[in-house]
Amino acid sequence: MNNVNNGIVISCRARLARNFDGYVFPARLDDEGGKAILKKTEDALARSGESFGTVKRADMSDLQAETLKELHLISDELLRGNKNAAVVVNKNNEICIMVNEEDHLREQCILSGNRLSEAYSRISAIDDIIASQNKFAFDKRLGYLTACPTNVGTGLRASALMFLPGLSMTNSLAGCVNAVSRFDMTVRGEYGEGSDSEGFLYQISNQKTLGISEDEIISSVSGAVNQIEKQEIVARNALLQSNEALLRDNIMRSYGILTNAYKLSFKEFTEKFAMVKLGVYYGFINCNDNAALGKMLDKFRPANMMTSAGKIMNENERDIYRAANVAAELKKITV
Amino acid sequence: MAEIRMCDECGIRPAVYYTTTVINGVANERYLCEICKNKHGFIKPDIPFFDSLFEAFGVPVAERENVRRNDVCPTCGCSASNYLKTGFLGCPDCYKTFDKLILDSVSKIQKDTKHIGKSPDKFYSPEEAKYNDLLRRREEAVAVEDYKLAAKINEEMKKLRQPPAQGGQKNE
Repeated sequence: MNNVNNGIVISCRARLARNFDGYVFPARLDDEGGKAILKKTEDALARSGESFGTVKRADMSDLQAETLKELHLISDELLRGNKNAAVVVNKNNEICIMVNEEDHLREQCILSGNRLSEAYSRISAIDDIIASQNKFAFDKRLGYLTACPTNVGTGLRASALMFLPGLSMTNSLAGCVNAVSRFDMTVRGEYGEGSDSEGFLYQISNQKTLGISEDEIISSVSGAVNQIEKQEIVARNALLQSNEALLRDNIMRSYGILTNAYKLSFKEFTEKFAMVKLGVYYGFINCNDNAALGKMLDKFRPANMMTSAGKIMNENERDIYRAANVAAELKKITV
Repeated sequence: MAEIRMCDECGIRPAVYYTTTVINGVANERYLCEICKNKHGFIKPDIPFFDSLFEAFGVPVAERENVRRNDVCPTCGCSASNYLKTGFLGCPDCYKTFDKLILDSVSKIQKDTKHIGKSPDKFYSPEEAKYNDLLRRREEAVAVEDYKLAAKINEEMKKLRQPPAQGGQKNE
């Protein structure tokens, strides 16, 4: 059964790569051009009827940059690139436009849960608003022109962030990866290309952007995500049947550590928290606030945690702070 | 036009370096892009003397296949050689300057050379709009596990795509 509350699909993202006609791509863009691109974007969004705020790369503190990166609102590429790079976001961070990254614009909508179609509809509407006031670099044959031809065509990258402990622990993930790769999709670690998977988090996204319509891309990624979700449920059942006592012991030990540790590194938190989430899924642990549980992973990432604590901490201080706050929060939302 | 070989490692960037290793008498050829070459420790040290030695080990693929590496985009100054090395273009006009080179690599990366989606001044033909509507309805049917309905919608979609809807998107 397609259970939207099972926590398997954590979030969905639709991202469109766009470039303004008449300007070189950001890697070769001068100061004046970089500023012009940002102004065009801000002016267009001002007419969207929605409120947006801009954070320029040059004005970002290291902590702010890292915090935004942890939330997937900006990329490493943006931090390394053009000095006029910026991010323009709406109030709830669901619509986020990276400016002067690899392309002039990376328009993205990130929504929690399994809502890829909605994410695409929303970002497509924003794209229409920007396009109505500007001319994008577009070729009738190749579609939207991008700095790297791997994005040319629709410029659309549709992805879902999935929590897949069942498939990982039953060593069934390779089969899934092979299956989706046959449909021009790819499975990566949470932070995209080259990133490792921590806490059983995987990103499923399309590879092909040309010769396929946006609706087909959304439909095929959604189809793959639904299939993987079903397989994950099958794997979780198999895991339970193979050795429930061992699984339950592992989960409850993880819960014990998270609610009692004095120091907790982010790595250890990620590993143990994944087991606790699995425990909530199986009903071994009762959770009275699934929304708060879903937000805990991001909340205790190093930069996000320091931002909400309002102070810079060294690693040792962070681990002590994390342990105390994770324990308090878990005790509050679980029984 | 010479065929552009893609990187054996990532498959998405053009190969720039070529290496051959012989193990137990069996030659193993590897074509790598700039990024994957560095990732695998095949690093070109910053010593002038090493240039020639490096070239002996890693002959640039494009050079071997007579690609005009000196072609330069008049708008941004990006060269074909730079594109082949990095996989990145300098500006939208590069697509015209290096059209054949890009089409070759695009057809390999994307397995297609024709955009059929949205455009800045788009409107969908009635057929395309109907097809997209069916796509959404099929997705909803699959989500609620009504496979009978999904199969029925699928049949309707197939009928709409015969002949293939290449160019179904109307921009004019």
